[in-house]
Amino acid sequence: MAYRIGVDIGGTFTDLVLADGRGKVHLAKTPSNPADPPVAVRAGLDELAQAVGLTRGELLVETDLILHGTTVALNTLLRHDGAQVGLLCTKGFRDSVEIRLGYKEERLDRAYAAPRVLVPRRLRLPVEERVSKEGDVLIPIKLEDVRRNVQDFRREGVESVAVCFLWSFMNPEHERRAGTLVQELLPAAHVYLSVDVSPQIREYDRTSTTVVAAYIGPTVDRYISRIEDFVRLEGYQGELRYVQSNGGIAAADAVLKRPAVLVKSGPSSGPTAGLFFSRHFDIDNIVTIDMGGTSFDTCLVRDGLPDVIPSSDVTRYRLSIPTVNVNTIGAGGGSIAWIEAGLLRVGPQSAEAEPGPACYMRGGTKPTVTDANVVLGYFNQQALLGGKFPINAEASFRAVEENIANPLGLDVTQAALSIHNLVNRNMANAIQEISLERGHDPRDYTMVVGGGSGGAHAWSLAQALGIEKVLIPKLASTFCAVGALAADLRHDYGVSYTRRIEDVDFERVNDAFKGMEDEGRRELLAEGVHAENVMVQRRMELRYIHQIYEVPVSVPNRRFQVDDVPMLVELFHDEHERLYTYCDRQESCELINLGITVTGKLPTVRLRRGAVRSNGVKEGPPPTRDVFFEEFGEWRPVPIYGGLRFPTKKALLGPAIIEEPTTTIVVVPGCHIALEPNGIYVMELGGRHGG
Amino acid sequence: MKSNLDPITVKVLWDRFVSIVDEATVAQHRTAFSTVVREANDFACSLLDTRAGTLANSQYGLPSFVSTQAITLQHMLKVFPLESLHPRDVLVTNDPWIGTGQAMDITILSPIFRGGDPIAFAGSVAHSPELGGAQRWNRSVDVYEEALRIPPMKLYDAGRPNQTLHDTIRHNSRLPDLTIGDLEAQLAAVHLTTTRLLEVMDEYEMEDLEDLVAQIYGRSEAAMREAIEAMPNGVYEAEVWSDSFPDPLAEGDQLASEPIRIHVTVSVDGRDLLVDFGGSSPQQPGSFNSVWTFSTAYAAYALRTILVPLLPNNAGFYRPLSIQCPEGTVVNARFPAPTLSRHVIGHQVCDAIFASLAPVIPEKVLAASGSCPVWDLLLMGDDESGRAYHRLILVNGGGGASAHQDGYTVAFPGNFSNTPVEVMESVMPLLWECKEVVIDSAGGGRRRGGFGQRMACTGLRDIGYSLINGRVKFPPPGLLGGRPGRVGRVVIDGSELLPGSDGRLGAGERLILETPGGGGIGPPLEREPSYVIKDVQEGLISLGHAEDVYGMIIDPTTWSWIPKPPRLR
Repeated sequence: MAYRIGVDIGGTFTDLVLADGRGKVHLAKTPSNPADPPVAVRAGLDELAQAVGLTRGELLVETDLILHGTTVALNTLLRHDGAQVGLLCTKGFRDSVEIRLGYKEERLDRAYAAPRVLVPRRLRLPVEERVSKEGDVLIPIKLEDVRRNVQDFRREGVESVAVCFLWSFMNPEHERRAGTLVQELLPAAHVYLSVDVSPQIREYDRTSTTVVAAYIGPTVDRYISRIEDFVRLEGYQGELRYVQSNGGIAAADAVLKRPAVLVKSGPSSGPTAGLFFSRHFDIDNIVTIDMGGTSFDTCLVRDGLPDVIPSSDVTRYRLSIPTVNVNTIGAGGGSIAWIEAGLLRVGPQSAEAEPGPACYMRGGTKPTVTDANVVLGYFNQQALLGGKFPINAEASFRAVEENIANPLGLDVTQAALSIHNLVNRNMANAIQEISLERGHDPRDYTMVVGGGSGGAHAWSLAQALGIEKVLIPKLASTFCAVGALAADLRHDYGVSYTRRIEDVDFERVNDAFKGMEDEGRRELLAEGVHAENVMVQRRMELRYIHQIYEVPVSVPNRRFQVDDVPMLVELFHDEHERLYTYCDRQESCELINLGITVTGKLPTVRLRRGAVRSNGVKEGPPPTRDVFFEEFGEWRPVPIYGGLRFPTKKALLGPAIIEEPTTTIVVVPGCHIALEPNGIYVMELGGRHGG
Repeated sequence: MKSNLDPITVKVLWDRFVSIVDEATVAQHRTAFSTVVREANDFACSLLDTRAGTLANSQYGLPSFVSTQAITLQHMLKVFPLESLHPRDVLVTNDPWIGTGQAMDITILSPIFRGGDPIAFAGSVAHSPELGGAQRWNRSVDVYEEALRIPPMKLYDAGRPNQTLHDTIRHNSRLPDLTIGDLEAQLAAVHLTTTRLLEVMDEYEMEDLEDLVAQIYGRSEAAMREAIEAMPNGVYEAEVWSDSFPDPLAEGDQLASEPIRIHVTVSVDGRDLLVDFGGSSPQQPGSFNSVWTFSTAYAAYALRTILVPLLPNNAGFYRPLSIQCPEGTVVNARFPAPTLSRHVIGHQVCDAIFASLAPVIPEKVLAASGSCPVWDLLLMGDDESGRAYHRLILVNGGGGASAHQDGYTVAFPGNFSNTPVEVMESVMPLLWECKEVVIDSAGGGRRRGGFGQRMACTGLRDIGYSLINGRVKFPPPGLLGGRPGRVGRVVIDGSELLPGSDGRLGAGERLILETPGGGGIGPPLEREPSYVIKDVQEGLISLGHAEDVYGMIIDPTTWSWIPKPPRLR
């Protein structure tokens, strides 16, 4: 049997999903062990092995692919415990990571502090050299400066060096010579050149990306060694691949060269996971949501393509790395409800895993979204996680009563309902930001739900947005691990070449495209992808002459010549119109960047009948519990289904609560729900599902 | 769902109103033609009540634009009384004195009807790409030179376009398509606000907004009054000195006046607050004049960031405030004064307010910002291939210190973005040699200011420039014993330029810009010595500066220090 395993290591839980090659899938969820991540992976592997009747060693021998999403890079940025970095830059430009772009992200916060700079000024050292915008050498590099600066680096214990010179993407020679010399003088150091990490115009963006790479690089390197050693010692012989910020996967070598591609590893799998499920219904316009303990991630997928943006700010550091456009807000089961100016607020602060919601009885006294769901009867009153995790419902009641109900003069039920509704409103706003505000009507999309807390809020959220169909897989709580499992290999390459379109030297463009494509194919070949499974997409990033931001435009996969200019300009106008509702066909445009994406298709995983464990129907009516629904305005007994006993292919009309082992689904009155044999719940408005 | 105004419903609806104007803002941004709107965010949208109070505004709008729309509506309602309005009317004006203080900004307002009655207004304001005028940015002598004047008029009458006005605008603009295109984008935003508001009211079965408006304003007013009450009663005064600017009528480069004084008296009286700019300098002959609408907007903005920084903006916050800007002064120039550079004066109103309240609420104020005013550098000419270019670059200085944070290089109170050096070189014949912080430029203090930046370039061809700047003569002051930031300067081939200059940078000539540093807060001798040593180690301040300002004689080999005699620490 050739197994494939997706592994997503988050801050709270380590999720594993196993596909057996015949359309059956198993999941394991274990508490993370931040000090030593493999410990949780080992526990998860044991659980999976047990599910397929093997030992851990046997399972690994029969597994040929492990796909891994990890928050190691992001956590290094969040915790500020990355490497001591040294930066070599063009003389006169050492402060670009300190000056940044000059604006505050929080404009009304008068005392909003500057973000911590990842490389101190005394280690941002100038090198005399200068290349022109054409790539001509104006001032030859003074290697003596490099030698002198490296002495400072050595004295200060620098373990990772970033090199970023002006216009290096037009002529990388100075950067390469400096990099070679640094490596010679500091053989143990990691060295990252901006032309390798992000060869694109805008010195602040490029420097920031290279510095982030240098900052997280050594940590990522150690982490990958640790994981690889671990699986090899366990007897694993197959391939280990990593989820990148672009949602695709890559081998360790590719990741280590450009560690910044790992910063959004994890959440970037959301769209892939969503598509994995929705394609069983031939749906490829989806909104994915992933609501966990502390945060809510949402992403839009149009025509089967996740929204990938060329650059973004991650924890206030600019990264020019293609990244799946996931909108993240502080809304999760642990989000804390509080009062400001006599009005209720929920989040963004979270009780996290420790101390957690009040009902966890781990010292948390503040009311959270989970507590509100307990008070309303949506969640089991004795234990969560299918009985594995005991809770105290009384503590939830007290927390809501003392902190919200009493100060606002509400009864506890109203207060809990308000918390539930308000967090829904916050999440609806986050979805509007990536849909309506970008010109996409959410009513044209299907919602695919992930995360342990998603099922309790999905239907209300969908109703608020006018979404008519919601898919909740039994695998919802391991959403990103599924995304990793279903991902293809993907590499993005880009290079800047700035010219008015009519002045473009197309030989140069063709050479640049060919160079990037060759590199991509080489990389995929090294990762074991055969040529017939390689897809290449080319793009040009163009803009009107007076614009600041360029628009990525897909262009044909062939050589270009001057005669192609009108065709390229038309493609640009069309794309501009699609994105911004208008274009100016009288105006000309300029080329800024060339880009290529190479994708290596992996064999597709598909869920079959009985894909996810289920124990069949139990005779007799389900038990009930008192639940409060706003639609009824009162407490009523509502049937409670154990997820393992829910009948397939039989539509059921809400109200109902379905308690899956790792998630709870709230079926609001008026909502129809049916479980497909492949383990995906489908929710639709009552009356639509033939019910 | 029933409309019952418990605190939760109020909060949910309030949030939704903010979302509505945010969505309208994004729609306007996406559909606008001009780069000023699209990339400098020089626009804002609002939802207003029928008595001309702001109910909600976009979170990303400029501070000035979000509160001037209410003032514009008050004046509009005098010309077009509420009962005379029809659904799909659109009112328009660019009058600086009832609008944003600058004739380049167009405000439009449209009544929203429900059940036959007007229940709210949707508003939008945006900097227009081109509205005619003499294009002598910092040299205009009156408002007639600055742009076509659009008095309060109907742009649409019950949905029918006012063709005369459309044609007039089109024929008075050098960029007619962009200008009309941007106006259409404003209309799109206003229509979206209207549609969405009515949808929400349907959902909540609301007939009108009266109850809700009262709730939202009441809560905001109460929060503001509570914050005012927490301050000790008293009369607090401050002045800030601004550079003066070239006289447009004089030959050559001559300053129009003595330095400009912005004087403010803030009276805290129980739960009310009175701001009076009496004592400020008379209005200027050039365009460096603010108008009361703009001065008031920034005064209110400064007070809001001090008193209730986190609550969404609305009319309730303004109720406890009374703001007076005497006519004929630099904060409220009389018609027909030129006002294109009004932000240079208007931004500094914030510094005056912070300075006046520093002794009473030292924890909440900011020292003066080196980006107040932000520097605008307009560059124009022909590139290497003979094509014309025309680019506006915004360069910020060091921010002011707050009680808990050092300042940093940031654009406060405007929040603009810098243009990267490589982008500037790619579109203009310039070669930059540096962009670095200016050593020792931050005002010293217990918390120091941010550093200004030094940028130097050489022209590769002749380049025309027009500079709107400030704080070249008068530094951004510190507060509560903090030192001022260092002044900025602009040098072309060795000679210093006056603020607000224009001219030519010849091929091979060198331009140096040094923006001002931000002011410090608290006595420099109270600064934690390890911070001073760290700044020296980082090369941000010199050993001499550490000695002169912080009284520390530091040994750069051991990083030990002794106090500078005879001072005691």
